Amino acid sequence: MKRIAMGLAAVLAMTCGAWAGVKDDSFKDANGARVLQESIEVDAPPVDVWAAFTTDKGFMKWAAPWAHIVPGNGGTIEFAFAPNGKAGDPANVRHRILVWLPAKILIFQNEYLPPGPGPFDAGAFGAVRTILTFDPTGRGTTDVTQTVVGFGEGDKFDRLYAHLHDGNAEYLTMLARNFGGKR
Amino acid sequence: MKRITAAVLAACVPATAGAADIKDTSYRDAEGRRVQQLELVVHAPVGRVWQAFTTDKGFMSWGAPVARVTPGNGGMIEASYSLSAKIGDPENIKNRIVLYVPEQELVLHNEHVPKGAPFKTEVIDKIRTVIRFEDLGGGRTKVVESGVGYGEGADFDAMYALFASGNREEFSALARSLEEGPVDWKAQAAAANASVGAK
Repeated sequence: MKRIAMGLAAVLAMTCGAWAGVKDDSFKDANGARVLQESIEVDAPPVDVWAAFTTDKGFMKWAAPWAHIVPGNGGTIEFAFAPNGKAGDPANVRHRILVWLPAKILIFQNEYLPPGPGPFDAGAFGAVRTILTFDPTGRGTTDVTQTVVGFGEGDKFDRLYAHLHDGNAEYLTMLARNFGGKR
Repeated sequence: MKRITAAVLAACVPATAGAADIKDTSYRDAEGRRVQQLELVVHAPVGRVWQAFTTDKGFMSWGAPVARVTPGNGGMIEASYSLSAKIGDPENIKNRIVLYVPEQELVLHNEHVPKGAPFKTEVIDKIRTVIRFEDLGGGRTKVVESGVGYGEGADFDAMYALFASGNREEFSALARSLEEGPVDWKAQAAAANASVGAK
């Protein structure tokens, strides 16, 4: 499992921590737990950015070479790193969609990772939740905010946090480039 | 079971809506589906409002006479209208906590309703209840509850109508408990029994 970043997509192994256009508003919640929160402005309206996360065609344009999305509450986002992927392949990554509110909110949790050693603990990844919000800016663009909650304490969560901190920033950058390439 | 509400599926409160500041901000989402949404501004700090949803004592002050909350992502709100119910009873209402962000956001998904519920389990299963908490300052909190996942057809229409009234009552009960004091469940049950007996 060479690369499994993610918020949603699996992301490349990281080489640096700063990504142009990505704003880091991470904080500690009212109980003192870490909340990873990063955002970027995308040159497209919310409906189009939503489609980039929630349709096979849209997702495969920027996030993974093969993907299949079952829409709706309780649906799934399944994807592969190989272009010849197929549904149910044990090498795929699968997320369960917890909340589906079109063009506004998408919440999911990881349900399955391919077996094998990876950059973080699969159990820790399954314990967190990822919230994506799509806010219109009024300029025809969308502020996409990715928030990851549920981090506990200890080495497993520390490694996951560090990995997602960079990985999600990179993947937000990839998303923005998909819509304009300027950011 | 007088009332089944979306957020907790457990509120059994008087039908007298109080003077709580409640707004219906329901709308259709980008794909045209109904989103049932209510907003409440309550005179209580956000930490206290959060506790009203996420602690046993807090929940029993307005939502149901019997409740146990297991906090956290993947946690549970188990509750019953029955004063004699016990946690673990097979007919208790169970709502899975699918998202838990302290003092900010709570998302619930119903996992079990008692027999005789006035809607189909496969219909309620489609719904997620998103509850957002916003600190307005000055000891006031806005609570926004959104029911998402409604489809079309008679079954969804019936459930939507049920929750439209039930959730408003639930919000009224929440506001009263926070501003005036907790529900007296025994007194309420006695009043309900007397009312039935008088008919």
